[in-house]
Amino acid sequence: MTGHTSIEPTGAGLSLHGVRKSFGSYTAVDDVTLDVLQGELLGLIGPNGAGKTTLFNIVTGFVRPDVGRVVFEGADVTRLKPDQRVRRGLVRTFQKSMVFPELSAEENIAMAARARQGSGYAWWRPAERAAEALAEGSRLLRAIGLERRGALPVGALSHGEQRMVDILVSLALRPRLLLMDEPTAGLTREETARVMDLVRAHDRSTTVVLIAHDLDVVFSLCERIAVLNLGALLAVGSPEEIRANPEVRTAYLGSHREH
Amino acid sequence: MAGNRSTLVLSVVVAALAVLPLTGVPDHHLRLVAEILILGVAVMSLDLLIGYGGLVSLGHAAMFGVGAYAAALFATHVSPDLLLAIPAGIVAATLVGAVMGALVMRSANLFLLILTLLLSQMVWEVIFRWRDVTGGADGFRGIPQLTLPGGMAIDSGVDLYYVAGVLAVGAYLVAASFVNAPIGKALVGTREQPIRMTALGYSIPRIRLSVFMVSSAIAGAAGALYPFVNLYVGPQVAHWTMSATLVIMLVLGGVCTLFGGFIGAAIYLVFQTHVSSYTDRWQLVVGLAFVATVLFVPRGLGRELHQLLRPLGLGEPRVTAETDKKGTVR
Ligand SMILES: Nc1ncnc2c1ncn2[C@@H]1O[C@H](COP(=O)(O)OP(=O)(O)OP(=O)(O)O)[C@@H](O)[C@H]1O
Ligand SMILES: [Mg+2]
Repeated sequence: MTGHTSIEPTGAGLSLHGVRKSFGSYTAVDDVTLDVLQGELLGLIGPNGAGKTTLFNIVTGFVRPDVGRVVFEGADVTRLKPDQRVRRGLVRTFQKSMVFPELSAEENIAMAARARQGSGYAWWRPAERAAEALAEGSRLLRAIGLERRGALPVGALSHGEQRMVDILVSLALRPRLLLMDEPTAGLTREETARVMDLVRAHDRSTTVVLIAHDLDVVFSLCERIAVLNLGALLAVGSPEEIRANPEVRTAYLGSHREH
Repeated sequence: MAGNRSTLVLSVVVAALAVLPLTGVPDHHLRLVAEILILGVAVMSLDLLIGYGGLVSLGHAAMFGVGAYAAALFATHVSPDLLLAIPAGIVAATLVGAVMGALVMRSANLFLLILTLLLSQMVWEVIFRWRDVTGGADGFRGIPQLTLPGGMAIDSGVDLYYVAGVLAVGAYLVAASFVNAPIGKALVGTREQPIRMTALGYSIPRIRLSVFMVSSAIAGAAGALYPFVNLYVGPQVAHWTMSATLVIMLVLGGVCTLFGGFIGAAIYLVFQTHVSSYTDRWQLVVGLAFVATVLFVPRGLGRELHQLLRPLGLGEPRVTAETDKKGTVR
């Protein structure tokens, strides 16, 4: 934990080397090479079907790349299973929120907290571990102002609240790298701000990659932005550089404005 | 999870079972209740797989059967001591369950059903063909009565009934502690949202292997006592039709309740015992009852009973969520 000292990116937390993935004859991710710096907040944008989610799937191990390597904190993780990567701190959220609707928000978070504690498979365990896992839930819910909703089944919460719980679940894993797939879709401006504040405040050394269609969110929050188009990486740079990039303007920003 | 009131309900049930023999119930009825308790334990262990894990196994009789033969052989050749013969059955069934679990832990749904069926039929084949040891198709006879550690024989229906009662309560406590523990919650998680569980860092095969072993151990304990009801065990206890019978009992009694296993076993065995004396077609009657259950009480009688008992605070069953089960990662 680096506290509140300035966070200079110290090196690549995640590196993709020539990653490619085809579904049949369609190349969804095409030779992507990208470094995500330790501790940065990187935005990943691109039109629908650009391959953003597929790239997340490759990084997290849900999809094996046809060629290329995924290196996380210096270790090649290309062959590791998704759950093995999670235990190294490589955590994702899903485009469609994935909660356990019958369980309370606290229980949802506790499921993650137990996995991180290493007590997720326990049969007999000390009571304090259980209390710890539930306390983690209360703490996170309080941090985002949902403490009054913590005991309700998540299925009974509003769409936005469910998305927030989904993100809290991922935070309970104490990620080193957090990949967020459209976390702000369906959230109000104010909820979006709360969520992103919490993610940044949670642990400043956590690297975050954020997919969002709301360009205002990306351009205002992210230190760097990567643009994906038709599976290929079009550009990576600061928000100003991306805004000024003519290729990006024709491929994406221009067309996006017309919608 | 089990609150004070559910402990109370359990205590009342146990007390009622304990005094039942004092009410002058004939010995052969106690033997029937003992059989219900034994099969109920087996069904309850299957509930861990099917109800809590969503793992529909059609091979559960293999573990029950291996437990039965192992205990019968142990009692005959080594020692009829209850505290040795029953554990022998448990160990043997757990080993078979571990192998089966390791082979199926990466599959689900129909594939898992067929794999468990195939593997259990291989176990049945071994029992059926290995005449010198198991008696083959004729079954295994000449089993001695179990004895208590002091050497006292468990020879009457009452004795057997009490042993089965202790087994049932013990197995229930083990199963209940499993489903309420983190591992049990993780198991339900893999049934509801396997992708999410993976994304939380849980290894789904590891969870499935755990539940297979626990469920096999409990089924093995039930199987281990079974030969001593009639001092006989035949290969049909390991046959896939026995597995199917256990599934039917589970559906009759209600999945995801644990105690529903006992209700299902009771309905089935009472039908078998009483209806079969009026008509040869008792299996047809059971079949109709099964269809009626699926149509009219789809959650099983145990669940309905649970609703009635709810004010008494009996443990919460894990309800199935209406979640999108699409396998795609989005
Ligand atoms: N499992 C799969 N099988 C076949 N095609 C797939 C699969 N996953 C993704 N695709 C295809 O790959 C392309 C990229 O999809 P992906 O979901 O990565 O895009 P995206 O950038 O996340 O889009 P969106 O902004 O709509 O979420 C799409 O054409 C999609 O249909
Ligand atoms: Mg996507």
